[in-house]
Amino acid sequence: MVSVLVEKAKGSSYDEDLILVERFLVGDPTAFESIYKKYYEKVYVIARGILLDGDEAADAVQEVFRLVYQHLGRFDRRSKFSTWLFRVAVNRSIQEARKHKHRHRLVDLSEASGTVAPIEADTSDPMIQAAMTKLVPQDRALLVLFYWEELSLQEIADSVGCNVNAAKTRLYRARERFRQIYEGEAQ
Amino acid sequence: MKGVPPELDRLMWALAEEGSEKAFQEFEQRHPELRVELGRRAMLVKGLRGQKHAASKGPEIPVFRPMQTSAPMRSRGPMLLIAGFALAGFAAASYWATTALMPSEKPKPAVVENRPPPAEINLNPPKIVPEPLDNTPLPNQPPVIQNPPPDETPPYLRPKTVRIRSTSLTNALTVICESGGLRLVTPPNMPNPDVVVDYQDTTVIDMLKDLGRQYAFTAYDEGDGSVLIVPAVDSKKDPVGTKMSPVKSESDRKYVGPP
Repeated sequence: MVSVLVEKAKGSSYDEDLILVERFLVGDPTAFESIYKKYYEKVYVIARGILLDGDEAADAVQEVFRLVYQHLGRFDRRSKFSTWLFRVAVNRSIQEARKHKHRHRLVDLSEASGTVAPIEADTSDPMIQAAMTKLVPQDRALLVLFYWEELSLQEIADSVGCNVNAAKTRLYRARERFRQIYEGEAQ
Repeated sequence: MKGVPPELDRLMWALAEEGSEKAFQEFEQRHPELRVELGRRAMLVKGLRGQKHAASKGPEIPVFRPMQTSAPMRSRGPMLLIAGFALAGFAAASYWATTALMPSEKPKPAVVENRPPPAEINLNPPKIVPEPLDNTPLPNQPPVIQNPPPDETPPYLRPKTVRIRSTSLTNALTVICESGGLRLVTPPNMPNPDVVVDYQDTTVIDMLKDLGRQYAFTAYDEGDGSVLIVPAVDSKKDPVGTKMSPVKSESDRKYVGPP
Protein backbone atom coordinates (compact mmCIF):
# COMPACT_ATOMS: atom_id res chain seq x y z
CA MET A 1 0.00 0.00 0.00
CA VAL A 2 2.71 2.44 1.00
CA SER A 3 4.83 1.53 -1.98
CA VAL A 4 1.90 2.15 -4.29
CA LEU A 5 1.38 5.58 -2.80
CA VAL A 6 5.07 6.31 -2.99
CA GLU A 7 5.16 5.36 -6.64
CA LYS A 8 2.07 7.46 -7.27
CA ALA A 9 3.64 10.46 -5.60
CA LYS A 10 6.82 9.96 -7.54
CA GLY A 11 4.88 9.70 -10.77
CA SER A 12 2.96 12.96 -10.41
CA SER A 13 5.59 15.25 -8.99
CA TYR A 14 8.44 14.16 -6.90
CA ASP A 15 7.95 15.62 -3.51
CA GLU A 16 9.66 14.02 -0.62
CA ASP A 17 7.31 15.73 1.78
CA LEU A 18 4.30 14.31 -0.02
CA ILE A 19 5.73 10.82 0.31
CA LEU A 20 6.22 11.35 4.01
CA VAL A 21 2.68 12.66 4.33
CA GLU A 22 1.26 9.65 2.52
CA ARG A 23 3.29 7.29 4.65
CA PHE A 24 2.04 8.93 7.80
CA LEU A 25 -1.55 8.85 6.63
CA VAL A 26 -1.37 5.11 6.03
CA GLY A 27 -0.09 4.56 9.55
CA ASP A 28 3.67 5.06 9.56
CA PRO A 29 4.50 7.16 12.65
CA THR A 30 8.17 7.48 11.74
CA ALA A 31 7.17 9.52 8.71
CA PHE A 32 5.87 12.29 10.91
CA GLU A 33 9.05 12.23 12.96
CA SER A 34 10.93 12.84 9.75
CA ILE A 35 8.67 15.76 8.90
CA TYR A 36 9.10 17.15 12.38
CA LYS A 37 12.88 16.97 12.32
CA LYS A 38 13.06 18.38 8.83
CA TYR A 39 10.88 21.42 9.47
CA TYR A 40 11.35 22.12 13.15
CA GLU A 41 14.02 24.75 12.53
CA LYS A 42 12.10 26.57 9.83
CA VAL A 43 8.87 26.63 11.83
CA TYR A 44 10.76 27.80 14.89
CA VAL A 45 12.34 30.66 12.96
CA ILE A 46 8.95 31.80 11.71
CA ALA A 47 7.45 31.63 15.19
CA ARG A 48 10.46 33.34 16.69
CA GLY A 49 10.31 36.14 14.13
CA ILE A 50 6.63 36.77 14.77
CA LEU A 51 6.58 36.25 18.54
CA LEU A 52 10.04 37.72 19.26
CA ASP A 53 10.46 35.37 22.19
CA GLY A 54 12.32 32.06 22.23
CA ASP A 55 10.19 30.24 24.80
CA GLU A 56 6.93 31.34 23.29
CA ALA A 57 8.22 30.34 19.89
CA ALA A 58 9.16 26.88 21.16
CA ASP A 59 5.68 26.40 22.61
CA ALA A 60 4.09 27.66 19.42
CA VAL A 61 6.12 25.20 17.36
CA GLN A 62 4.89 22.30 19.46
CA GLU A 63 1.34 23.50 19.01
CA VAL A 64 1.83 23.88 15.26
CA PHE A 65 3.11 20.33 14.87
CA ARG A 66 0.37 19.02 17.13
CA LEU A 67 -2.21 20.64 14.86
CA VAL A 68 -0.50 19.29 11.78
CA TYR A 69 -0.37 15.82 13.33
CA GLN A 70 -4.09 15.89 14.03
CA HIS A 71 -5.23 17.49 10.80
CA LEU A 72 -2.77 16.28 8.23
CA GLY A 73 -5.64 14.54 6.46
CA ARG A 74 -6.98 17.99 5.56
CA PHE A 75 -3.89 18.81 3.51
CA ASP A 76 -5.39 19.04 0.03
CA ARG A 77 -2.07 18.84 -1.88
CA ARG A 78 -2.90 21.90 -3.99
CA SER A 79 0.24 23.56 -2.66
CA LYS A 80 3.52 22.26 -1.36
CA PHE A 81 3.40 20.66 2.04
CA SER A 82 5.97 23.13 3.33
CA THR A 83 3.77 26.06 2.27
CA TRP A 84 0.78 24.51 4.04
CA LEU A 85 2.91 23.95 7.12
CA PHE A 86 4.18 27.54 7.06
CA ARG A 87 0.64 28.79 6.78
CA VAL A 88 -0.32 26.89 9.91
CA ALA A 89 2.78 28.25 11.62
CA VAL A 90 2.10 31.86 10.62
CA ASN A 91 -1.54 31.74 11.67
CA ARG A 92 -0.77 30.08 14.97
CA SER A 93 2.09 32.45 15.75
CA ILE A 94 0.00 35.51 14.95
CA GLN A 95 -2.70 34.19 17.29
CA GLU A 96 -0.13 33.71 20.03
CA ALA A 97 1.33 37.16 19.40
CA ARG A 98 -2.11 38.70 19.90
CA LYS A 99 -2.42 36.82 23.18
CA HIS A 100 0.93 38.11 24.42
CA LYS A 101 0.42 41.66 23.26
CA HIS A 102 0.26 42.97 26.83
CA ARG A 103 3.50 41.29 27.75
CA HIS A 104 5.36 43.19 25.04
CA ARG A 105 3.86 46.44 26.27
CA LEU A 106 5.26 45.68 29.70
CA VAL A 107 8.67 45.12 28.17
CA ASP A 108 8.45 48.48 26.45
CA LEU A 109 7.57 50.16 29.74
CA SER A 110 10.50 48.54 31.52
CA GLU A 111 12.79 49.71 28.74
CA ALA A 112 11.35 53.21 29.04
CA SER A 113 11.97 53.22 32.79
CA GLY A 114 15.62 52.44 32.27
CA THR A 115 15.67 48.85 33.47
CA VAL A 116 17.04 46.36 31.01
CA ALA A 117 14.69 43.59 30.01
CA PRO A 118 16.25 40.11 29.80
CA ILE A 119 17.19 39.72 26.18
CA GLU A 120 18.62 36.57 24.73
CA ALA A 121 22.27 36.82 23.94
CA ASP A 122 22.70 37.43 20.26
CA THR A 123 24.78 39.42 17.90
CA SER A 124 21.88 41.03 16.09
CA ASP A 125 21.41 44.73 15.56
CA PRO A 126 19.35 46.04 18.51
CA MET A 127 17.83 48.74 16.30
CA ILE A 128 16.57 46.11 13.90
CA GLN A 129 15.16 44.15 16.82
CA ALA A 130 13.49 47.25 18.27
CA ALA A 131 11.94 48.09 14.91
CA MET A 132 10.67 44.54 14.54
CA THR A 133 9.05 44.75 17.97
CA LYS A 134 7.07 47.80 16.92
CA LEU A 135 5.66 46.15 13.86
CA VAL A 136 2.35 44.33 13.93
CA PRO A 137 2.63 40.50 13.84
CA GLN A 138 1.23 40.35 10.30
CA ASP A 139 4.01 42.60 8.99
CA ARG A 140 6.62 40.63 10.90
CA ALA A 141 5.30 37.44 9.34
CA LEU A 142 5.75 38.85 5.82
CA LEU A 143 9.27 40.06 6.50
CA VAL A 144 10.24 36.78 8.13
CA LEU A 145 8.91 34.72 5.25
CA PHE A 146 10.63 36.92 2.68
CA TYR A 147 13.96 37.73 4.32
CA TRP A 148 14.49 34.79 6.63
CA GLU A 149 12.83 31.90 4.87
CA GLU A 150 13.50 33.47 1.45
CA LEU A 151 10.19 32.29 0.06
CA SER A 152 8.97 33.44 -3.32
CA LEU A 153 6.01 35.78 -3.59
CA GLN A 154 3.80 32.86 -4.63
CA GLU A 155 4.85 30.87 -1.58
CA ILE A 156 4.31 33.88 0.65
CA ALA A 157 0.89 34.36 -0.87
CA ASP A 158 0.04 30.71 -0.14
CA SER A 159 1.42 30.97 3.36
CA VAL A 160 -0.59 34.03 4.35
CA GLY A 161 -3.67 33.11 2.35
CA CYS A 162 -3.87 35.70 -0.41
CA ASN A 163 -2.98 36.09 -4.07
CA VAL A 164 0.45 37.05 -5.38
CA ASN A 165 -0.37 40.69 -6.07
CA ALA A 166 -1.80 41.15 -2.60
CA ALA A 167 1.25 39.48 -1.12
CA LYS A 168 3.52 41.81 -3.11
CA THR A 169 1.62 44.90 -1.95
CA ARG A 170 1.53 43.76 1.65
CA LEU A 171 5.22 42.99 1.62
CA TYR A 172 6.04 46.39 0.16
CA ARG A 173 3.98 48.17 2.80
CA ALA A 174 5.43 46.08 5.62
CA ARG A 175 8.92 46.87 4.43
CA GLU A 176 8.15 50.58 4.23
CA ARG A 177 6.70 50.59 7.73
CA PHE A 178 9.77 48.76 8.98
CA ARG A 179 12.06 51.26 7.25
CA GLN A 180 10.24 54.21 8.74
CA ILE A 181 10.40 52.75 12.22
CA TYR A 182 14.05 51.82 11.77
CA GLU A 183 15.05 55.24 10.54
CA GLY A 184 13.04 56.81 13.31
CA GLU A 185 14.99 54.69 15.80
CA ALA A 186 18.24 55.67 14.15
CA GLN A 187 17.45 59.35 14.48
CA MET B 1 11.50 58.53 1.63
CA LYS B 2 9.64 61.36 0.07
CA GLY B 3 10.39 62.56 -3.42
CA VAL B 4 11.58 59.22 -4.77
CA PRO B 5 9.50 57.96 -7.68
CA PRO B 6 7.82 54.61 -6.95
CA GLU B 7 9.65 52.77 -9.72
CA LEU B 8 13.02 53.96 -8.35
CA ASP B 9 11.91 53.08 -4.85
CA ARG B 10 11.14 49.49 -5.93
CA LEU B 11 14.37 49.35 -7.91
CA MET B 12 16.37 50.36 -4.85
CA TRP B 13 14.70 47.68 -2.74
CA ALA B 14 15.40 45.10 -5.44
CA LEU B 15 19.08 46.14 -5.64
CA ALA B 16 19.38 46.11 -1.87
CA GLU B 17 17.95 42.63 -1.70
CA GLU B 18 20.07 41.37 -4.58
CA GLY B 19 23.25 42.80 -3.13
CA SER B 20 25.16 42.93 -6.41
CA GLU B 21 28.12 45.35 -6.38
CA LYS B 22 27.98 45.84 -10.12
CA ALA B 23 24.29 46.73 -10.02
CA PHE B 24 25.01 49.16 -7.17
CA GLN B 25 27.69 50.93 -9.18
CA GLU B 26 25.45 51.22 -12.21
CA PHE B 27 22.62 52.68 -10.13
CA GLU B 28 24.93 55.17 -8.42
CA GLN B 29 26.20 56.34 -11.78
CA ARG B 30 22.67 56.97 -13.00
CA HIS B 31 21.24 58.37 -9.75
CA PRO B 32 24.05 59.77 -7.65
CA GLU B 33 21.57 61.68 -5.47
CA LEU B 34 20.11 58.35 -4.26
CA ARG B 35 23.42 56.80 -3.35
CA VAL B 36 22.95 57.34 0.39
CA GLU B 37 19.40 56.07 0.29
CA LEU B 38 20.46 52.93 -1.52
CA GLY B 39 23.18 52.36 1.04
CA ARG B 40 20.65 52.65 3.89
CA ARG B 41 18.37 50.12 2.33
CA ALA B 42 21.20 47.74 1.70
CA MET B 43 22.15 47.96 5.38
CA LEU B 44 18.55 47.51 6.42
CA VAL B 45 18.14 44.38 4.34
CA LYS B 46 21.43 43.04 5.61
CA GLY B 47 20.36 43.71 9.17
CA LEU B 48 17.01 42.03 8.62
CA ARG B 49 18.63 38.95 7.17
CA GLY B 50 21.15 38.93 9.96
CA GLN B 51 18.35 38.70 12.48
CA LYS B 52 17.63 35.20 11.29
CA HIS B 53 20.84 33.85 12.76
CA ALA B 54 20.01 35.39 16.09
CA ALA B 55 16.57 33.87 15.96
CA SER B 56 17.71 30.43 14.92
CA LYS B 57 17.48 27.70 17.50
CA GLY B 58 20.44 25.51 18.27
CA PRO B 59 20.76 21.94 17.05
CA GLU B 60 18.71 20.67 19.96
CA ILE B 61 15.25 19.64 18.81
CA PRO B 62 12.81 18.73 21.56
CA VAL B 63 10.90 15.48 21.43
CA PHE B 64 7.53 15.84 19.82
CA ARG B 65 4.55 14.55 21.79
CA PRO B 66 1.59 14.47 19.46
CA MET B 67 -1.07 13.93 22.11
CA GLN B 68 -1.36 15.38 25.54
CA THR B 69 -0.73 12.88 28.27
CA SER B 70 -4.02 11.48 29.43
CA ALA B 71 -4.88 11.57 33.07
CA PRO B 72 -4.14 8.34 34.92
CA MET B 73 -7.01 6.03 35.76
CA ARG B 74 -6.49 6.73 39.43
CA SER B 75 -7.66 10.29 38.98
CA ARG B 76 -10.37 9.29 36.53
CA GLY B 77 -12.14 7.09 39.09
CA PRO B 78 -13.77 9.87 41.14
CA MET B 79 -14.66 11.70 37.97
CA LEU B 80 -16.40 8.62 36.59
CA LEU B 81 -18.20 8.14 39.90
CA ILE B 82 -19.43 11.72 39.91
CA ALA B 83 -20.48 11.42 36.31
CA GLY B 84 -22.39 8.24 37.14
CA PHE B 85 -24.25 9.89 39.98
CA ALA B 86 -25.04 12.88 37.83
CA LEU B 87 -26.36 10.62 35.11
CA ALA B 88 -28.52 8.68 37.57
CA GLY B 89 -29.89 11.90 39.03
CA PHE B 90 -30.70 13.17 35.60
CA ALA B 91 -32.51 9.95 34.74
CA ALA B 92 -34.56 10.08 37.96
CA ALA B 93 -35.47 13.70 37.39
CA SER B 94 -36.45 12.94 33.83
CA TYR B 95 -38.68 10.05 34.98
CA TRP B 96 -40.31 12.21 37.67
CA ALA B 97 -40.94 15.06 35.25
CA THR B 98 -42.43 12.73 32.67
CA THR B 99 -44.69 11.07 35.22
CA ALA B 100 -45.85 14.40 36.62
CA LEU B 101 -46.61 15.84 33.23
CA MET B 102 -48.56 12.85 31.94
CA PRO B 103 -52.38 13.04 32.29
CA SER B 104 -53.75 10.88 35.07
CA GLU B 105 -56.70 9.55 33.10
CA LYS B 106 -56.28 7.72 29.90
CA PRO B 107 -58.18 9.20 26.99
CA LYS B 108 -61.28 7.35 26.09
CA PRO B 109 -61.08 5.49 22.82
CA ALA B 110 -63.20 6.85 20.04
CA VAL B 111 -65.53 3.90 19.84
CA VAL B 112 -69.23 4.31 19.23
CA GLU B 113 -71.14 2.04 21.55
CA ASN B 114 -74.68 0.98 20.98
CA ARG B 115 -75.38 -0.20 24.46
CA PRO B 116 -78.84 -0.14 26.03
CA PRO B 117 -79.30 1.71 29.28
CA PRO B 118 -78.28 -0.27 32.34
CA ALA B 119 -81.09 -2.13 34.04
CA GLU B 120 -81.49 -4.71 36.69
CA ILE B 121 -82.49 -7.17 34.05
CA ASN B 122 -79.90 -8.08 31.50
CA LEU B 123 -81.74 -7.76 28.25
CA ASN B 124 -78.81 -9.36 26.40
CA PRO B 125 -77.78 -6.48 24.17
CA PRO B 126 -77.14 -7.33 20.56
CA LYS B 127 -73.55 -8.07 19.63
CA ILE B 128 -71.67 -5.41 17.72
CA VAL B 129 -70.03 -6.84 14.68
CA PRO B 130 -67.72 -4.30 13.00
CA GLU B 131 -67.47 -4.73 9.29
CA PRO B 132 -64.76 -2.92 7.29
CA LEU B 133 -65.94 -0.74 4.48
CA ASP B 134 -63.43 -2.24 2.11
CA ASN B 135 -60.47 -4.60 2.22
CA THR B 136 -57.85 -1.92 2.83
CA PRO B 137 -57.78 -0.81 6.46
CA LEU B 138 -57.20 2.85 7.25
CA PRO B 139 -54.79 2.96 10.18
CA ASN B 140 -55.27 6.61 11.08
CA GLN B 141 -59.02 6.57 11.28
CA PRO B 142 -61.02 5.24 14.22
CA PRO B 143 -62.75 1.97 13.60
CA VAL B 144 -66.14 2.38 12.02
CA ILE B 145 -68.76 0.31 13.79
CA GLN B 146 -71.93 -0.22 11.95
CA ASN B 147 -75.18 -0.76 13.76
CA PRO B 148 -76.22 -4.39 13.61
CA PRO B 149 -79.22 -5.27 11.51
CA PRO B 150 -82.50 -5.22 13.45
CA ASP B 151 -83.19 -8.47 15.26
CA GLU B 152 -86.42 -10.08 14.12
CA THR B 153 -86.67 -12.33 17.18
CA PRO B 154 -89.40 -11.20 19.65
CA PRO B 155 -88.03 -10.04 22.99
CA TYR B 156 -89.69 -12.85 24.93
CA LEU B 157 -87.83 -15.43 22.85
CA ARG B 158 -84.43 -13.90 23.52
CA PRO B 159 -82.41 -15.39 26.41
CA LYS B 160 -82.26 -13.14 29.41
CA THR B 161 -80.89 -13.11 32.91
CA VAL B 162 -83.20 -12.38 35.84
CA ARG B 163 -82.10 -12.50 39.46
CA ILE B 164 -84.50 -11.61 42.29
CA ARG B 165 -83.48 -12.56 45.76
CA SER B 166 -86.76 -12.29 47.56
CA THR B 167 -90.10 -11.00 46.29
CA SER B 168 -93.65 -12.07 45.79
CA LEU B 169 -94.60 -14.37 42.93
CA THR B 170 -96.71 -11.68 41.28
CA ASN B 171 -93.86 -9.21 41.31
CA ALA B 172 -91.48 -11.79 39.95
CA LEU B 173 -93.86 -12.66 37.13
CA THR B 174 -94.37 -8.96 36.37
CA VAL B 175 -90.64 -8.37 36.10
CA ILE B 176 -90.15 -11.44 33.93
CA CYS B 177 -92.99 -10.51 31.59
CA GLU B 178 -91.86 -6.89 31.30
CA SER B 179 -88.35 -8.02 30.42
CA GLY B 180 -89.89 -9.82 27.47
CA GLY B 181 -92.13 -6.96 26.52
CA LEU B 182 -95.26 -8.70 27.78
CA ARG B 183 -98.03 -7.48 30.03
CA LEU B 184 -99.02 -9.74 32.92
CA VAL B 185 -102.65 -10.53 33.69
CA THR B 186 -103.29 -12.37 36.95
CA PRO B 187 -106.60 -13.42 38.54
CA PRO B 188 -107.62 -11.98 41.94
CA ASN B 189 -107.37 -15.34 43.67
CA MET B 190 -103.77 -15.93 42.51
CA PRO B 191 -101.59 -17.27 45.34
CA ASN B 192 -98.68 -14.97 45.99
CA PRO B 193 -95.92 -16.65 47.95
CA ASP B 194 -92.41 -15.26 48.29
CA VAL B 195 -90.11 -16.61 45.64
CA VAL B 196 -86.45 -16.54 44.67
CA VAL B 197 -85.75 -16.17 40.97
CA ASP B 198 -82.40 -16.89 39.38
CA TYR B 199 -82.43 -17.48 35.66
CA GLN B 200 -79.46 -17.02 33.41
CA ASP B 201 -79.68 -16.93 29.62
CA THR B 202 -83.21 -18.22 29.71
CA THR B 203 -86.15 -17.13 27.58
CA VAL B 204 -89.20 -15.60 29.22
CA ILE B 205 -91.27 -18.61 28.15
CA ASP B 206 -88.94 -21.05 29.84
CA MET B 207 -88.94 -18.93 32.99
CA LEU B 208 -92.72 -18.90 33.09
CA LYS B 209 -92.88 -22.64 32.46
CA ASP B 210 -90.40 -23.31 35.21
CA LEU B 211 -92.21 -21.10 37.70
CA GLY B 212 -95.51 -22.70 36.69
CA ARG B 213 -94.13 -26.10 37.52
CA GLN B 214 -92.95 -24.84 40.90
CA TYR B 215 -96.04 -22.84 41.91
CA ALA B 216 -98.84 -24.65 40.02
CA PHE B 217 -100.04 -22.17 37.47
CA THR B 218 -100.35 -22.02 33.71
CA ALA B 219 -99.42 -19.11 31.49
CA TYR B 220 -101.39 -18.35 28.34
CA ASP B 221 -100.40 -16.08 25.54
CA GLU B 222 -103.33 -13.81 24.87
CA GLY B 223 -101.95 -12.78 21.49
CA ASP B 224 -102.12 -9.06 22.21
CA GLY B 225 -98.83 -8.82 24.07
CA SER B 226 -100.25 -9.99 27.38
CA VAL B 227 -99.89 -13.20 29.33
CA LEU B 228 -102.74 -14.66 31.33
CA ILE B 229 -101.83 -16.57 34.45
CA VAL B 230 -104.28 -19.25 35.54
CA PRO B 231 -103.61 -20.76 38.98
CA ALA B 232 -104.22 -24.30 37.77
CA VAL B 233 -102.33 -26.95 35.91
CA ASP B 234 -103.73 -28.88 32.93
CA SER B 235 -101.90 -32.16 32.93
CA LYS B 236 -103.27 -33.18 29.47
CA LYS B 237 -101.41 -30.58 27.46
CA ASP B 238 -97.75 -30.88 26.62
CA PRO B 239 -96.04 -27.50 26.99
CA VAL B 240 -92.75 -28.57 25.50
CA GLY B 241 -91.83 -26.68 22.32
CA THR B 242 -94.71 -24.31 22.64
CA LYS B 243 -94.13 -20.98 21.02
CA MET B 244 -95.80 -17.81 22.05
CA SER B 245 -97.34 -16.27 19.01
CA PRO B 246 -100.25 -13.99 18.34
CA VAL B 247 -103.51 -15.79 19.08
CA LYS B 248 -106.63 -14.74 17.26
CA SER B 249 -109.22 -16.84 19.03
CA GLU B 250 -109.73 -18.65 22.26
CA SER B 251 -108.99 -22.02 20.61
CA ASP B 252 -105.66 -20.77 19.30
CA ARG B 253 -104.32 -20.25 22.80
CA LYS B 254 -101.20 -22.16 23.40
CA TYR B 255 -100.21 -23.75 26.60
CA VAL B 256 -96.87 -22.66 27.97
CA GLY B 257 -97.14 -23.99 31.49
CA PRO B 258 -95.61 -27.02 33.03
CA PRO B 259 -96.79 -30.48 31.95
